[in-house]
Parts: sequence; structure tokens; C-alpha cells
Amino acid sequence: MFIHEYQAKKLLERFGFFFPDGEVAHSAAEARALAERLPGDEWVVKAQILAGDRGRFGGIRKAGSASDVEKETSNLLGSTLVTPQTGKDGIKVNTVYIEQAVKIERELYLAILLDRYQRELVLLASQRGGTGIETALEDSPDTLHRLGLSVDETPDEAVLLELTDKMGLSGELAKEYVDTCCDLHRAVNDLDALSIELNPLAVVEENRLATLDVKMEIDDNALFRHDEYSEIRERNRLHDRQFRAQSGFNYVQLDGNIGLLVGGAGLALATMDLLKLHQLEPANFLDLPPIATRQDVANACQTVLQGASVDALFVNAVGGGLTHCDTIAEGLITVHTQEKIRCPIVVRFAGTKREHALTLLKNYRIPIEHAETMDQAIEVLRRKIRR
Amino acid sequence: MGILVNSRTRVLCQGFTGYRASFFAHRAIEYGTKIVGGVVPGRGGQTHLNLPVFNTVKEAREQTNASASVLFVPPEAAKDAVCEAIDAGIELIVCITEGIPILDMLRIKQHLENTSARLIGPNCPGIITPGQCNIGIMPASIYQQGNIGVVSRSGTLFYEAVAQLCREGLGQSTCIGIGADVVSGMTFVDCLELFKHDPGTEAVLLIGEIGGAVEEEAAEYLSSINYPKPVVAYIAGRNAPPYLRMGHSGAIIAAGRGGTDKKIEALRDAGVTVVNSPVEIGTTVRRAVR
Repeated sequence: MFIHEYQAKKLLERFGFFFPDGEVAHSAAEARALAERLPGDEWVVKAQILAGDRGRFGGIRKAGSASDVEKETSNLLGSTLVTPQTGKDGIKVNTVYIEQAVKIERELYLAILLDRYQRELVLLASQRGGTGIETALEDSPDTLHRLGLSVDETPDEAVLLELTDKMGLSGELAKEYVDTCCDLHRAVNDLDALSIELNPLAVVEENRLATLDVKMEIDDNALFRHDEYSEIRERNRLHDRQFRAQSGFNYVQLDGNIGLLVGGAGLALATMDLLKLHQLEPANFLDLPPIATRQDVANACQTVLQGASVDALFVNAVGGGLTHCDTIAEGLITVHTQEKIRCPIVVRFAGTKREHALTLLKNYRIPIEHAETMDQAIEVLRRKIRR
Repeated sequence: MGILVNSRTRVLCQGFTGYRASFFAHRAIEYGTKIVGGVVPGRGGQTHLNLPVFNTVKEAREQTNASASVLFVPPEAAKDAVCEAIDAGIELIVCITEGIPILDMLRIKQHLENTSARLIGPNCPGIITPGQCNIGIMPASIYQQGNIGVVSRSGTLFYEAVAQLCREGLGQSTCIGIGADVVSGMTFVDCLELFKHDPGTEAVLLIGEIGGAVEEEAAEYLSSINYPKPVVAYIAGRNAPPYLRMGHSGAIIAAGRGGTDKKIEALRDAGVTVVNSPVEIGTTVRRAVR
């Protein structure tokens, strides 16, 4: 999961990064009080949303007095920010981070992240940092330096020193840069981060390197060894466009009208593709956990049905692996007995416990139409939707 | 024939006494798989499913002469368990465990380097040579003996594809679920290379999906050599929303990469028959082999 800038800065504090003083605020009055307490005479009010490119789209505002901080905070809180990374609906701002403004001499980009294509940890460094880095790098990819890293071995200092040269840094700054790279590597390692991007990493007054903004993703799989993440997870879940509910299923709402309850991500993707090939529109993507319980299925089914406008529900399951057809059927029964499902339900069961699942649905008088294959299911769906 | 496993493969089960391991080990034994024992630290000397339990993989390997191991250990213990199997000289490691931290997977990959061990998974359904050996969680009853090699990233879509093959009267030589995690063991390329040399395999079916680059790598491999057998592929996720990140974290579209279009194009350019609709997988393979 991605985490907010303020959360990342808090987590990174103990690794020796230099951040300007700052704190989080949830109201304009709180923001004003913070500004009065923080050092300096200029501040930045930063919207905390889980999407980048805030700077170019009004999410980061300068304020020259405590009352300006109050004013900008009140403008931002409750407003909706739309950036290229938020989707067209944008994301509502619930929290701001008030930070002491610093005088920036140069902006750099430094990150360590998992390269999902090469399947290794890489350090990415560029002389060009700040907003719009993605497009800047597209225009001139040669300004981005890439360094493959081992997970546990500290990066080679000689190689990092070479990098400082390419960054145009020398003397104390170069030394500080090498340290920052090593700190970053240690942080990725200790925090089980999939990416930590320091952008910008800035050369500021008194010839220091300051991390002005952080974008960070932590590995959901590693939550078991980080107690500190449970609170962050709870807090952010409410504002995440795509969320994993407590039961662990993955759900994305889409614009169509056919609700999908499908076992397994691959089959779910294929089902979406098949619908589209037949000019039918999925209302959601859903991926049940590999070991789904009856209650997981029921929760997932309820989520699907509560989605915008579901005209039909398509249940597609191939029993096997860790989830069998009967579990899906039981989930459906749980939902239907609590509150009748009103839209047509098309069920396609195959594989382990298929017969049992169909018998269960029949015994509980769930009004379904069963299809033997995915082709048949499409035909039935088209018929139902046309009505 | 088939690849990697057959009726003589001797298999250990790590995490043997757990509920799921017991269930699937029992099923594998019923199928005829030579499960020869299990490993559970602290339970050495006990017997489970009428088979010996050992404290360490090394000990188990020495006593049973196993060459393969299937892991049902919890994610917290997975890194150490896989590395232990590698160090003990296990040749084929099948990791069913889901939810292993990604940095641990990178550590496992580093450990695998310069060894001859092969890893299938993690977060995968396993491997089956129908009629001979079933390692993992696949419902053996849907598979038939034959000569189509199948490799899939997805689990459930895998079963769907196999069911379609069987409807067309096409059995399978070996089916491998490699999993769809960002960092995992064997890839499409590794499996294609093994199927190339297997006289029992007439054609290969690849089931891919959005995210990662293993499909592109397969295309690159197939373009680089004169692959002697027909290859058919289906790539799921053509209509996935661009910001979708999958439950099994493998599928992410980033910076224009990982999308289905480029994968399909690369595979087609490499001479692969790419199936358009997920309901036409079986019929397409039938046309490719006859």
C-alpha cells in the first residue's frame, strides 16, 4: 500500500534523513497553531492524498504568515484534488501537512524501489527532480541513472561516489549524498518498502541535502513483521480507491452494469475480457482471496451488489485449489437469506464440488440460472440484460 | 513423459502436519504421487499419514532420497524453509505459500543463484504430470494424460483452460502453475526450454496476464531460436482498468509496460498463436496441433 507523505516522513525519521520541520493538521485552527509554533517565517501547506503530482495541481501552497496557513488549509481541507494520478473523480483532502519552507538551490530525484520487470531492487537517481519528473525522464531518459542493488548488502561506496559526480555534487554534499543512499537502502530493507522516492531531494541553504517530499509504498505481505503499519493501514483504507477489505479481497468499481463474483484473479480478468468481447460491461473487478471462506464470499458479494448499478450478477467459479464451488454457493446463500438479491443471477460452476454447490442453491431456492460454460453464461446474461 | 516430475519423483512436504498440507498430501498420495515424508521442525520422529516426519530437510533428504519438496509453510517461515531446501540439495521446490514478503523473495532468488535447484511459485497451484505425479493443490481429476504442455500464471484460469483442452480431447504432458507474484521462481522461458526437449510434449499452451514481463521474455526467447513445437497463448486482462493492481500483486501496469497489447504483439511476432477469447483456448490448441 502507498502511504501518505507525513506517514512516510515519520517512519523515515530514525534513519537519519533531514526533513524540514513539519506536522500534520486536520483543521484550519490547528494548522494556524502549528505555524505559530514551527520555526521560520514561511510555510508550505501540503494536501495529504495518496496520489502524486500534487504540486502542479494546487495541492501544495505557500503561506507567508500564520493566518495565510490558516486560510490555505481551510481552502484545501474538504476540497477535491484532481491530478493525472487520481482518476477523473479526484481525491478529497482530509489532512494537510504544514511544513517549514526552505530555500531550494537545486532539486534532485533519488529512489530505491523494486523493479517489477527486472525483478530486482534498483536505485534510481537523477539530477532533475521535483514536479513533472516522470515526463522529464520520458523526454530525456539518459538523465536517469540506474543501479541494481542486493537486498542485504550495503551499496558499494565507490559506485555511489561515482554517482555523486553525475549528480554534480562534491565535497561535503557528495558525502551526504552517499550517506543518504545508504540510509535509503537501510530504510527499504528495515521497513519492507517496495519503493521510497525522495522527490525532490534538494540542496538547500547551508549546503545541506533535505528531503522535501517522499512517496512510499510498503509491502502488504510484510505487515506481519511491522506492528506500526496496522494503524496506517486502517486510517488509509477509508480513502483508498481500490481497497482490500478486512477479508482480504481486492475490489475495483467500474462503470458497467454486470456485477462479477469470480474466484481467482486470472479468471476474473478473463471474464471481464469475455464480457467486453460481447459488448457487455462489467460493474467491477473482484479478486477473492485464494482461501475464501463463506463469509469472505458473502462480504464480496455484498460489496459487488452495493456497487453503482448492478443489473445482473455473474457468478463464475472453477472449483479447485483452495476454494471450491460450494463455498461460493454458501456465500451467495448467506447474502440472499439476509436480503433477497433482486437482480438476475447467472451462475457458472465447474470443477470441485460443482454438484454439491448447485444442490445447495436449489435447496435454498436461490433464483439462479446455471450455465455449463462461459459461452453459455454470456448468452444468458445478454438475454437477461435485454429484458 | 513430461517434464520435471514423473511417477518416480520422490517428494517431501514441508509444513507436513498442517491442515492444508495434510489435505493435499493425502490427495497426492491417493493420486499415486510418491510422497516419502515430511519436515516439521520439532516434530522429528513422529509419523503422519503413515509417513516419517523429520526436523530438517537435510535429514529428510538423507533418509528418503527425495528430490522434490512442496511447501505449505506460513509466509513468515517461507524464506528460511525454501533456503533450507536449496541447501539440502532438493532439486525441485514447489512453494504453495501465499503472501511472502517481496524482499524475502529477492533474498530467495539470490540464494538460488549458482545452484541447480528450481523453484516453482510461490503463491502457485503447483505441478502435475497427469497419471503420474501431482504436487500442489491442483484438482487432479480434471487433468488427462496427453501431450500438451501447459504453463499458467493464474490458478483458476489454468483449470478453465485445462477443462477446455479436455473437452477437445487434448490431454496434457505436464502442467505447471508458476504463480503471478512479482518475484517468483520458474518463468515461461524456463518451462518452454524444458518442453522443447520433451518428446512427450507436442505443443505448449501459455496462460499469461497483465503485469510483469515474463510474456515478453517468452516472446524474446521464442524469436531467438527456432522453437520446434507450436505455442499457443492466452493473455488475460485486456480490459483491466489501467490503475488495477491485482490481489496477487503481479499484475501492474506501469509506465506503459505490462499491458496486454504489447505482450500479445510480441508473442504474435514470435510466431505464437494468441487466443482472442478465453472460451476459445481449447479449440485454438486443437487447430494448432492438427
